[in-house]
Amino acid sequence: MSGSAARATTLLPEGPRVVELGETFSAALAGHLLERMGARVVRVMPAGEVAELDTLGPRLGEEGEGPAAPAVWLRHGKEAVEFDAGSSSSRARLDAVLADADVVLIAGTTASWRARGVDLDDVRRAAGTAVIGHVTPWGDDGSRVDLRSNELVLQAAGGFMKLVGASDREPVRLGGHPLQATAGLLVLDGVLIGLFHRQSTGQSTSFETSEFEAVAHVEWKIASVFQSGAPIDRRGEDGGGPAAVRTRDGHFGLFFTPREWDAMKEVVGDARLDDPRFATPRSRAEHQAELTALFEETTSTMSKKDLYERAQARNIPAGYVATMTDLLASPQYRARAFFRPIEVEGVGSGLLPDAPWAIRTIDDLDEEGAA
Amino acid sequence: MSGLLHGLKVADLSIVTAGAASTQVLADFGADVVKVEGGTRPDLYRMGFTGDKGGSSDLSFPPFRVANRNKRGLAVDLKTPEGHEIARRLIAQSDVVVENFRRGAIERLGLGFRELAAIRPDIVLVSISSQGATGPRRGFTSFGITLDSLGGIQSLSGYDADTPTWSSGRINYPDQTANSLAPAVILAAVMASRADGQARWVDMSQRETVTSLLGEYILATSLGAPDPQPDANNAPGAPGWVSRCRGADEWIAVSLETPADRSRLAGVVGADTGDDDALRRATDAWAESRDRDAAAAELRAAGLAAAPVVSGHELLDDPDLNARGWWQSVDLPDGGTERQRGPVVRFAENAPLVRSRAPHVGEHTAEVLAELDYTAAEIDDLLARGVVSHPQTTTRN
Repeated sequence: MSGSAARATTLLPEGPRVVELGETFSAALAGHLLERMGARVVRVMPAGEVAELDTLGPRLGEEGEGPAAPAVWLRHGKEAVEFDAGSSSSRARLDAVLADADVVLIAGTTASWRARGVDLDDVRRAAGTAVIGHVTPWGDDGSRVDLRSNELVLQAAGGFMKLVGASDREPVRLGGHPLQATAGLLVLDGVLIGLFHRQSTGQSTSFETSEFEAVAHVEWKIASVFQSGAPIDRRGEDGGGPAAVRTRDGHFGLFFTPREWDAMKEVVGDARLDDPRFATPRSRAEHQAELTALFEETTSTMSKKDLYERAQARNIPAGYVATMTDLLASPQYRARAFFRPIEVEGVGSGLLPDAPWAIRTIDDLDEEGAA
Repeated sequence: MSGLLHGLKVADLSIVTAGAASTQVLADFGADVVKVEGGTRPDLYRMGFTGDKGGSSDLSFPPFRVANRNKRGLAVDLKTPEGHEIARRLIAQSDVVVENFRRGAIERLGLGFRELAAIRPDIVLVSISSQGATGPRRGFTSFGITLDSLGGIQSLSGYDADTPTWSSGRINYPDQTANSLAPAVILAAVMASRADGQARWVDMSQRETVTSLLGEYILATSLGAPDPQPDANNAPGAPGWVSRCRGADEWIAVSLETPADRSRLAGVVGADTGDDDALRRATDAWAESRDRDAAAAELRAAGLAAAPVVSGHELLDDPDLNARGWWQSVDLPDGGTERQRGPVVRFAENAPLVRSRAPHVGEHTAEVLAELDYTAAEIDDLLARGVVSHPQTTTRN
């Protein structure tokens, strides 16, 4: 894989046809990755509605008044069809798209589609040979079915935020849409399980999930440990040392295990770290503020990337806090052709991350060997 | 009926959660997943990894039991010629080999992609690694949360620009993204190789996985926007916060996505719509004397996007998850049962999700070797010479 070559991500060479019925972040992300696998994706959008992706930030353009970045990203490479429930021709077109589909991703509750004039049982009949995935925020029934949801709400309700942040401060979310995105990954799993089953047996199948269930799936350890009677972790109790320290040009994620403590002291090169107060993980945790200040006396004079190289030279599994600018300039990402270009109308030429996998065959290895 | 992945055979060399929790998903849906470990060097996650939660036996650590349920255990020393031959026979019967060793380790075992393809021409090798199998940083080491830093999400998480915050060692978000994505990629690769008979090597980078889910920010910055900064519980264009409720460390979260939300919230907490800071102060004052769940219910009843900030163990009693039969009852090794996480998605048709608890080290060694055409005498000989091993209980030093 060279820096100039396009990354090989196609895994579904027959190009399955995927229909997204409605659009949420999670369903759109699943469709996006299916597109990178080689699927042809058609978005069916109810006429006259503002789609969720169009309401999310950040917005593009100099004044921030351009299109919503999540929408541009997750719709890239997909076709779009507008659906008007009141139009017989539009319904016929939807039926045709569904009849041709290998995968249908339905976003939103049965009740919300009924309110739009669409019976999901009719959709399932029309797409009789497809793998059908249905994803809702909270489930298609139950006490929360009509509640609103978003990334913050999911991080709160699913146990995530209780573990993130400092012990003496309030819970804090992770930025971006990590849980809605991960829900999309689990929807993608469901699609591929269904497609595999169809390839093996010729039989179609369907699944349901909710973003809430996806969060419970992702934050699975606390419930597991709790049942054993062990203490429940709280935020800020990682015990490894300062989470991030200042450098001359940003921050460094100072992760190390007890066995790397001596190597970490070498990196910092401050004899005061030999003090017995910092000798054990427990004592380091007890004196964390003091330790952080001591670390930062040195790290604040260093660049975060120099610190990264010095830590890695000693096999310390630590890394710098990479900004988007850092990532766009990353030699590792460039060497692996991770970014691909996109032209955003009225805004300019930008970059998108590709799928995080690369496919190689024996022929590829032979060609690389010959090059 | 059998599982939806019936007929899929997985030689599972993966460890900890980025790898092992990926193959757990395959095992849940009926794939035959053989967990290959060294008898004296098993998956380090068995003992709790950081040593903080492990117990005295190889199945004491609860998260290990989750990530390895429904698998069979084969204990073999792959560095011996006889052990290598066992691996060759297993791979010849497998659709896919999954590994997440440090780069170069699989090749040093003589099980690199070329060797695997020579054993089975349509084999799929899935390598889940820190930064991928190529590039100048391919040999760099990391733990899961290191990739919060290197993957970019830490740069936009935290209270403010001075407090970039990672997902915590317990959540380890980068490992969870990897094990959420990998099952789909594994299945797609096997489908492709079954279709054309060609071997494939799937090179999956955990760092890239984290960044790949930040596409909106990569795009914006590539178009000239400044780097995003940590902004507490706000989202772009949608202020949010948590307010403390009655009790120790009890909170509710609320976000304001529209102008109407501000009016709704002001109505509930008895404030002027004013500015968002004033609304937040009023919400804090309103919440501090209320029970968390009651406060969240009141905000939700007003049509707001709000939720109690719960701990993961509270989900064991969640009425919706329980009504859907989401939690799975799994046998404990010494009797009794525990509840483990449910499926990635709920299929209308699938065999029961859980067929067996996680295996002891080498629990199915004899069974697997017999399927690989070893005779009983050969198995006894391999056991006697320590090439393979039986079930055992390991003890922490």
